[in-house]
Amino acid sequence: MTEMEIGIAAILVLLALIVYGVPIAVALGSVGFVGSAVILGLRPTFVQVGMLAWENGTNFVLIAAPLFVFMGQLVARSGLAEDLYDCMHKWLGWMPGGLAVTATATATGFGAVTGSSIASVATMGRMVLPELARYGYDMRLSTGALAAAGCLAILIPPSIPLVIYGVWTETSIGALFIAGIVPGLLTAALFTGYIVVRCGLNPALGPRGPAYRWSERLAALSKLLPVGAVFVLVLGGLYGGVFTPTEASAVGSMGVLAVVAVMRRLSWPVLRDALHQTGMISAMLFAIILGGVMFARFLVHTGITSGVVAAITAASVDPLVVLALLALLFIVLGCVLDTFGMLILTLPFVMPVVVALGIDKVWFGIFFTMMVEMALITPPVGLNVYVLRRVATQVPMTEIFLGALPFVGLIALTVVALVVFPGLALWLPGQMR
Amino acid sequence: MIARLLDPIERLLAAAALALHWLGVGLVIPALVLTITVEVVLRSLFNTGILGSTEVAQLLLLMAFCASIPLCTLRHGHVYMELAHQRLRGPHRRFADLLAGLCGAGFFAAFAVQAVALVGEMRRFDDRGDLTDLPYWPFAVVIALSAVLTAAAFALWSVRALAGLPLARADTTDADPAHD
Repeated sequence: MTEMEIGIAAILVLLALIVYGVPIAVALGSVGFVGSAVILGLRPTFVQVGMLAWENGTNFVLIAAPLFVFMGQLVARSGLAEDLYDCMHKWLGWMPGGLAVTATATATGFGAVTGSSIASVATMGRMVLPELARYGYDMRLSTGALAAAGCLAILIPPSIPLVIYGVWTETSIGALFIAGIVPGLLTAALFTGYIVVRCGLNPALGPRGPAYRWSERLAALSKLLPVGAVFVLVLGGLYGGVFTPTEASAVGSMGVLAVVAVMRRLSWPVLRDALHQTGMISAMLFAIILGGVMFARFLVHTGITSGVVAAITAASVDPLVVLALLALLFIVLGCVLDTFGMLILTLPFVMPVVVALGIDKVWFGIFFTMMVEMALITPPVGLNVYVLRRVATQVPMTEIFLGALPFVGLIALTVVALVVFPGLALWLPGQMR
Repeated sequence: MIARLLDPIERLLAAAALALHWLGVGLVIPALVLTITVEVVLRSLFNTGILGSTEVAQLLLLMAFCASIPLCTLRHGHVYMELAHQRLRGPHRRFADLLAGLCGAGFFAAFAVQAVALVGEMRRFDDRGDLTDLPYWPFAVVIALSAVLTAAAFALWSVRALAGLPLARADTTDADPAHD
């Protein structure tokens, strides 16, 4: 067997293991280990495994991942999202579909202090769904909007998937964060516009909420302060070149701790649960990274990635065609894999091609994240839909998926806009210090 | 019978995994936040810094990452393709769990062997940080412990699957922050 044939066989075995329910980290690690042992021999493979954790676990840039998770966990558990919702409701609740619009705006703001879509959907769902039901909102539209709005958390900085993407592809995480702002806000605006138009045309879908007096609205702005302060601290520091994304994650965590302590919401259960969940998510992430690195190194020895790159370069394929094919691949993979599975499984193959075609890595990071967003609300996996279903127990899963469908279209529209106008993602990072 | 035999082993493993997990998250995460924040504040306000803070942060990160892998494994917190697995029934499901357990045990056992060897090497050569002079071997011990416990946790998956005992895999949606 040639090395290329071993590589192809290994990829098939890997897919079979994943389909059979073997944890992705384990499937990647064990196939990478056996494959490397076949090609390089057992001893060099063992040496590689030995250094795997040390090399990757001491990567200073990766500190951003657990610390942004910690920051998001603290925000999710300390009631800051409720404050944000209350403020947004006073400002936006009067619009057609006011509660759903409020939920989208709150999720956008919440995304600015947490990088996890699951945390966003779970928190928003628990908080907003009872209200939506009480005011007689159409559950298909409401749950679809909530599941979709949760996706914004991974595009609007800070974003855990963008941290992992940045580390894996050696791309500036600060630039990736800043690049996500405009597409994130554009997507949020499209979501809001869609809800307003649909509820405006058919008020039975989502009635207007009460209009508050200006004095009440202005007073509610004070509730925006804690989240706003943390966002400005993290993004301002990054954009102004005061600190790196890794430092931003630590300063942001300290900022949230300080804000929550000042608001007298920092209790032992809040801190304990946030720390516990941070550990579990970080471990899950690190295991995937370990397996992914093992597999990626094996792939290099097989020559598969260089072969694919050479074939694509020789065929002079239009980058747009490659992007369309990649979008198709991500949509299919998104049907069966979660965010990090998709990320680690595809990047070893995809990135060399992207680089060879001269596609900007920061731009591609945003493109990739938007494809992941779609995957989060499309059947059959649609992780956000599953999380929301836990809260909306009375709404059938199909209803949520159907409700999310128009939002998938809106994300696709943003992706098209991103392809036509790359500046949507690249202009802002270009202005960074 | 097997369940009764496994019970004390599982309890012991769970206690060790939990202790390592809390060492990682209870001490290391706050220390990480504090070290980096103090460094940023000192640099920004006083144009100075802590010598070797980056090195300390890197070693803390290593501990934070490795310390919770055994507990994550015991609680079935790793990402997997639920869609197909949940549709498997009877012997197919047992085989899938056995396969997952064996792959995990194999990979982490190899990892554990090398991690233990790494501890020995680091002690023998007295590997230390460039700026902090901190010995590396205690950190390698955390990696080794994590790998050994994780390999044992995956081995338990296999034994449970072989014995036909239930293996309640976590749903990824359990990541709901309020319902860990």
